[in-house]
Amino acid sequence: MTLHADAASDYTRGVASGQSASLWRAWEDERQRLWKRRGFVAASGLSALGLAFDMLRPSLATAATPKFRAYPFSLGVASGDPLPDSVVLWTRLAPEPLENFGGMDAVRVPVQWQVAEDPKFRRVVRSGSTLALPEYVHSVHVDVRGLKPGRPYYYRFRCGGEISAVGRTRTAPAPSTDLSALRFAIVSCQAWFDGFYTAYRHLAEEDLDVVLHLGDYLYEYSVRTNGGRPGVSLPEKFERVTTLLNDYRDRYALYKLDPDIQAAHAAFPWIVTWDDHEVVNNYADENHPSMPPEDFLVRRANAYRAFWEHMPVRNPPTGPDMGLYRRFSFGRLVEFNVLDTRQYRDDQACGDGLRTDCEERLDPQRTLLGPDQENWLLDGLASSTARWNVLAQQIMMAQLDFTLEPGQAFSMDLWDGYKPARDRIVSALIEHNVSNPVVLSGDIHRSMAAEIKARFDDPDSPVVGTEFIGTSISSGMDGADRDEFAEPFLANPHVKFYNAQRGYVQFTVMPERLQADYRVVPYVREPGAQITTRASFVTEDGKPGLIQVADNPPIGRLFSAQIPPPEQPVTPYE
Amino acid sequence: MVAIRWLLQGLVVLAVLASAMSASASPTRGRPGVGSNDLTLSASPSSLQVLAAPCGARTIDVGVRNEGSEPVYGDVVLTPESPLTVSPDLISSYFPPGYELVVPVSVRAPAGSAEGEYEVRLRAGRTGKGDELVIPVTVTTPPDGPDANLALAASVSASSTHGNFAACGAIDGNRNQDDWDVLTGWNDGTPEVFPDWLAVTFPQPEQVSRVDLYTLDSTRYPGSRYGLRDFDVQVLESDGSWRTVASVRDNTVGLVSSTFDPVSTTSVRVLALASNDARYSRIVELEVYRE
Repeated sequence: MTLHADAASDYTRGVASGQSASLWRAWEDERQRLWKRRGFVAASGLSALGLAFDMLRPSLATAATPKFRAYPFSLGVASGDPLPDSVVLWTRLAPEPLENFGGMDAVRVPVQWQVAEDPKFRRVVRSGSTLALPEYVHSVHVDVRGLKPGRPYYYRFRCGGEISAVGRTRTAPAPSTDLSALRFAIVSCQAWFDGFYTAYRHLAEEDLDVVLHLGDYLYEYSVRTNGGRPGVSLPEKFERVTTLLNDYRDRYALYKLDPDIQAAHAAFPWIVTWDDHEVVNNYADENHPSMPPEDFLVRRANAYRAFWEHMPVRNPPTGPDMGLYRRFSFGRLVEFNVLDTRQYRDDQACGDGLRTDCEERLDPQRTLLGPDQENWLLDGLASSTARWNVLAQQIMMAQLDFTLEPGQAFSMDLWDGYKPARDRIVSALIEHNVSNPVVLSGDIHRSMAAEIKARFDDPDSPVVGTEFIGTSISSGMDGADRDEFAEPFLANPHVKFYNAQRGYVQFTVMPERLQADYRVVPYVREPGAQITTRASFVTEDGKPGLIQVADNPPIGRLFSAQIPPPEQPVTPYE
Repeated sequence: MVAIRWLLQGLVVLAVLASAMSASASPTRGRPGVGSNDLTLSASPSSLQVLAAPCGARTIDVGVRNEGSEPVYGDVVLTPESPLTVSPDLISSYFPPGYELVVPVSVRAPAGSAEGEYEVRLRAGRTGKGDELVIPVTVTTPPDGPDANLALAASVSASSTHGNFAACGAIDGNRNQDDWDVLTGWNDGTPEVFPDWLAVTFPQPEQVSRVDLYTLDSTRYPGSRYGLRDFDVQVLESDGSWRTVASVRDNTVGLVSSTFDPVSTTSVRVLALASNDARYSRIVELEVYRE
């Protein structure tokens, strides 16, 4: 199959104008009526506006403007991948979101969109129309161009007389901007069945320029895992382990139905990458113990396609391949290198799991990023002029010895399982004197802070960079301030902080310092928990390493020994 | 690439679609269900017998092959004749050229369904003329009589179930130890936490006097390492309490037959106290007999 990159990036790009006064007047009228009618709107789909938009209708035999039986924007709106002049807007038409194809017929449907400078849409600056296609379960990706840098914008969609929620987004600053501060957060690991998305409810209230999702947006397991969410009854298909395209699509729909995740998407642009569970636990490139590579690549293609259909990212996959690693600059202040540590990696060494004396992990021929991505990363770091250079990625990069016993037990799924690949990056940071290297990770369902050392086993070796490990939104259930991994993990001298509750990390980056606030909730098995800052760390410009500036009292459970280990076992194949 | 120009009050609104990136080389370009015309359908076995019982669903392998020379994304819609249900009822996937995707499809007849011949219809594509296939399904009712396995007519519940398994696997009529990997048994969902339990509930009170428990014991997963070690067989009393009628300790084998004085009850459960790996409770099949 051929797919040209330029064609893909042009996908549904609306080139539009904000000048069509009568059209917008009609839209506003319709919107007002709709707002007033909302709640008893079931009956009439089209009214005045149906007329107006009939003029818009192209002579497309396959296009239709449906009358929806239910609200079609049930999965909310999202935006992402902000550039100085552009941002991707996302929604999906799904009037019956848990039904096959979201309850949509196999027809193309025109969807209108608007971008405004104000939340009431009095100053619309960009607008257009695009076709939602059944091939992509009527997901909509609009790459809006021509926006001003470093500005907030508001957006919404319209279809069949229904109007979406309003999303708020923000473009990146111009490349030459001397930005005084950038605020962002990292999130990851949101097993729907493990708990409520309380952390997202709080995240939506923060003051952020962008959110980075570091993977495990969904899990392939049955939604009844760990008991599921209380009081929720779902069709049997949600108990399937996801393998088919429709499995993954339905699971995304379920996850995105949650009002808290919708609020977090609508509040900020997101930059998303994936980890393993968007396909299946601990896969490596074309390898997974569940099936031969030929079959696994079909599963991967299904998972990647559904991922793209539900994420505000520009380019769709080509079968089992999807270019996801990419770079984002925020003025001269911060450059994010967003990595993909799954698609190109060699199979985990020594049969995966925790290993004590694994020679294979030391093989310099083995790769985690794949040669192309690794070269792209190292070249980018070498040539970067940003003050803060961030690796936004999935798995813990600092060495992590899991045991207090003699010898060292390393997870073969983390960077420890690919030691020479990590060494190559650390060497490049040193060799090119990269300004303020910062590593962001998820995956492990723990809040941690660590220092990247030139040689981890030598306490006297220099600190090269700083790593912030973000905990899960919900995976691992309530958790506790500490669990049985606290002691061995903190025994690694370069690990400076540990907490095993749910939440996210909020960052404030300024030219002279970066501050990380570890925001945690005491429980997620019940809704409504409050959020607090458990600890804060600062890294000063030019001085890699961690300075703790806040250490607040624990909340919730102090200790639990019953948190599932970071790598969920598959029975009985352990 | 498809470009549509919408001329509106002198302004050009250009929507650029790469619609059919998947279809750029496909003969069915631009149509929904792109490429489904190249998909052919098969089923193995070619017909199926299911039990009209809560856990009476049976599985058939549906094969979907892309006969074309280009990769396609396609859909196969499965339509069961009432009262049958199927899971999944849709197979959407990526299909490389020449690739056959094999999907296990569970076919179910609700308890109380009339015995008889039914069918499940499969069609490739959501519109147009894709390949079609009809799977004949024979519905039978659970066995009765003095030597019947009463669990086959029962419903099942469990303290927890691992996400890869289903509790019905314990009463699906399959006691083949080598099928553990294809999830025809039950595995609890709480590692290192005991006790666990799995209960069967009959449609009406039954007099029972024997329970055959098949715990995991295969060449790959020997019972001495993975099987249930300690468990109680219990019956539900009329006051809602559970009464132990047999206790098994230090077990290492696959089949444990427990006999006890005949008792009338609506529900029988296995209370798993320990397994030989101290992690999970694993039941391949649970059978309950009158005598």
